[in-house]
Amino acid sequence: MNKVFIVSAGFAIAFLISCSTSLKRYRSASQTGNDNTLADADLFSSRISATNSLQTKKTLLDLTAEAQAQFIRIMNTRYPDNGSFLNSLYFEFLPAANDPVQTDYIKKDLRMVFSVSRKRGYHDSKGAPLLTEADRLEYLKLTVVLDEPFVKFTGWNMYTTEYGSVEIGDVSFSKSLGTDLSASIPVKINSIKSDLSPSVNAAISRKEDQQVKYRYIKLNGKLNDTVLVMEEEGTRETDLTGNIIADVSIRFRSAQEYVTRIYNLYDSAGKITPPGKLILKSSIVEIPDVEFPQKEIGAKLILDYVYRNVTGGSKTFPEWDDRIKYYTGHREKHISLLRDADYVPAFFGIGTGQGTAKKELVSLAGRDGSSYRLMFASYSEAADFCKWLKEWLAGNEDKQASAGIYILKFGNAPLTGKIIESNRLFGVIPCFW
Amino acid sequence: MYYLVIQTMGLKKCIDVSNENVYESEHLYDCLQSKPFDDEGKKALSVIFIRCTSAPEFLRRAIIYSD
Repeated sequence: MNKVFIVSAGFAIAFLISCSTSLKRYRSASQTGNDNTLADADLFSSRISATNSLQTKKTLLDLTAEAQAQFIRIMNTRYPDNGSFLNSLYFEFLPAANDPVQTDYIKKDLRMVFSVSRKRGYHDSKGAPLLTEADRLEYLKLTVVLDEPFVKFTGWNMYTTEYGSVEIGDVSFSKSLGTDLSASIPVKINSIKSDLSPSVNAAISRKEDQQVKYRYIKLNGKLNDTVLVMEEEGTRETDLTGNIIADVSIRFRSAQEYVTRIYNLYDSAGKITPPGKLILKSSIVEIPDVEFPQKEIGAKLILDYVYRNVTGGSKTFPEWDDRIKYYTGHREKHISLLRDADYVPAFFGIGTGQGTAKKELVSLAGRDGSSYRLMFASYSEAADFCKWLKEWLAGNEDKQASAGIYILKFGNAPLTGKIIESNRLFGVIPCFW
Repeated sequence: MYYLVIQTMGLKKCIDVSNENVYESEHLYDCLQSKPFDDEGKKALSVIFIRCTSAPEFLRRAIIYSD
């Protein structure tokens, strides 16, 4: 009897000790199967770094204080009357002689914010798992696969989640666990009946301080030319629903074009400069090698997850007493990463055919037989030259237009005032729109 | 006449003109050139993949047109 009692008491104490720790992950767990409806992910927002537009002209405000004073003195001497003097303050000056087009059109920094959510219906629907408030996403893997071959991932700058640096605070809770074990055994010794009632009482009170700030997420990621993979694993009590931010660099396959700047269109008095005195600077720029600009560049977003469904013990915050079922899931969807305005360069030319597939642009023909399209990196540069061109041809209707050492051509023929007159829509047009 | 045409951002550009069809894949051409070209009445003969002098490491799709 004593043996039975001692063994029972031992079991009771061992049971209490085993239950009084929260170091267990769960009480029981089972792999239940696949359910693709329990979680979802979407691209909440994407932001591309703006292409830097270059300041091509200098004004009075771009000068240093000393140069401004000097400039004002000179202009005051040169234009003694009040109106001309005030106009001279708005003059634009030649930028630095070797001022190349520095804008990078093929490398972009892309920030993607993904939003991960899970199903919240806490009711028992037919065939679906009974969800509880203690459920959480324990693991998720987000994969982004680029659709287009002309763009690729080149670098990974940052990957964070909303939990990354959040310190939630401390949570203390205590729990008393106890049990009574008693036995009543009739004993007969030498015809004397007696009841022996041994009992054991075991109680353990344990105070437990859990620091919620110790919660953390295991982040993992990998990147190749076309695929970006992010993995998250939440440790205890950490639900992975929320936002994930990924900052990556992308690069387009490149094509080359000449971009030209034309200086010295007007002299300091605002008088038109003859073609031979124009200064042309052409530089090669890399632009995305895309045959047909697309309204959007997309990717496939794949979500794989493990859902921790609590079927027992959901009332308590600690998870050690939970009875859980694990569900895996897989979802795929198409997301839009870039719009055409994000990557199609805003180059401008002079010619006809705006908004159509058949654009005819003025080109620069050299004496050696070479010929290049006349393209400008900004509308204002193209508009300034177009204004100059029309003004010059208005006074020299039958002459061939030229700029510096180049002859201006429109199609097969040299550009003349008559050609402009016969093409009513001749003017500044966007090259790629 | 034969015309070697590339296309970037929806804009066609003729980079070379020749009396004979001398164009071949992998050959190097100056893709910055822009010769007068109007595809009206011209026939697309074939697609080849050329290299450009400004970036010879990449192959670019080009179309040969003829009158």
